[in-house]
Amino acid sequence: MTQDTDIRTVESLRRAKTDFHNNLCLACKDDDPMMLQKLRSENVFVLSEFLFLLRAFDLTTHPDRLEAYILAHNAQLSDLIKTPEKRRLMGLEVPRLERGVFSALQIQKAKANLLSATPGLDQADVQRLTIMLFSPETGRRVIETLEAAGFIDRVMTPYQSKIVQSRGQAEDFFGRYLAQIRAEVPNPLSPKETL
Amino acid sequence: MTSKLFPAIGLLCLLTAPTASLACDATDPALTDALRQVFTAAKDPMIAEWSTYLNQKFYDDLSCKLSGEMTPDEVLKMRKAPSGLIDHALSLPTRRNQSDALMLMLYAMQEGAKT
Repeated sequence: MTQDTDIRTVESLRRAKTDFHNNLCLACKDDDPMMLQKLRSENVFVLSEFLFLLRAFDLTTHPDRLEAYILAHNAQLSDLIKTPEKRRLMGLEVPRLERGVFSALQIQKAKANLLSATPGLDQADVQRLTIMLFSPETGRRVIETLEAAGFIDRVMTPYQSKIVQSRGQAEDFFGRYLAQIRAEVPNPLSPKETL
Repeated sequence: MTSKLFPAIGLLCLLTAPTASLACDATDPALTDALRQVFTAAKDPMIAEWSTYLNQKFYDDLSCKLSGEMTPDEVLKMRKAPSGLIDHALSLPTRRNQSDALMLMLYAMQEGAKT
């Protein structure tokens, strides 16, 4: 790989990410500079990736798939809780990880939410599923940012929970980001090239 | 002397620590206010004196660092021992790499999709 190719690769990755944030800002229903600044944050990018993957793996239309995902998530947290070396590398502490574990009842509620009149993930479940990415407080703020920007809706249920429903734009922009990288990043390694 | 020097050293570290990379969408005004109250009303004369040099950016950055870790009430409870607050802030990682967590999330979702 030549130096020029490396530089063009870096440039393509950076431009694609900038364009992702630009697209969010252009589509934002609020043009307040503070809101636009929030939309350009790394945490918004990360939550968009989470939403994109939920859709790509089709995890929120099939309760059984959601359950399998949550069980795998629980197993990962359990492993981190039992392995200090791993969790220290990730900068995560046990109390934080424990807040991300779903109980059996919470798993059943999460599945039931997909079949309700307002299908979607409970905000608390999103905060649990993203516990390794954000603290619950930060997760709540990022969700609120996307709601204020018009990309997700939070529907209050009679049970005082908030169901998060994405309108799909953040996922579309993330998909466009990936497509742009595939299109613009120079050709992958040739058979003769080694790392 | 050591006990008086340590809080000042901690405060100096907080002041000079790289803060540009804090991952914080917005600071909590109540948390920022609570921090200001604790430092400006510190009984330790050295901390009280140093706090006169602290600007808004310091409080915003510290608020960002402690966001999600402490509530405003918990910060105010440390009014009598602001050095403990400094210790806690210094012990927090400046920034976590989310890449590892994103990979784990991807693997968990892949498991879900197998169903």
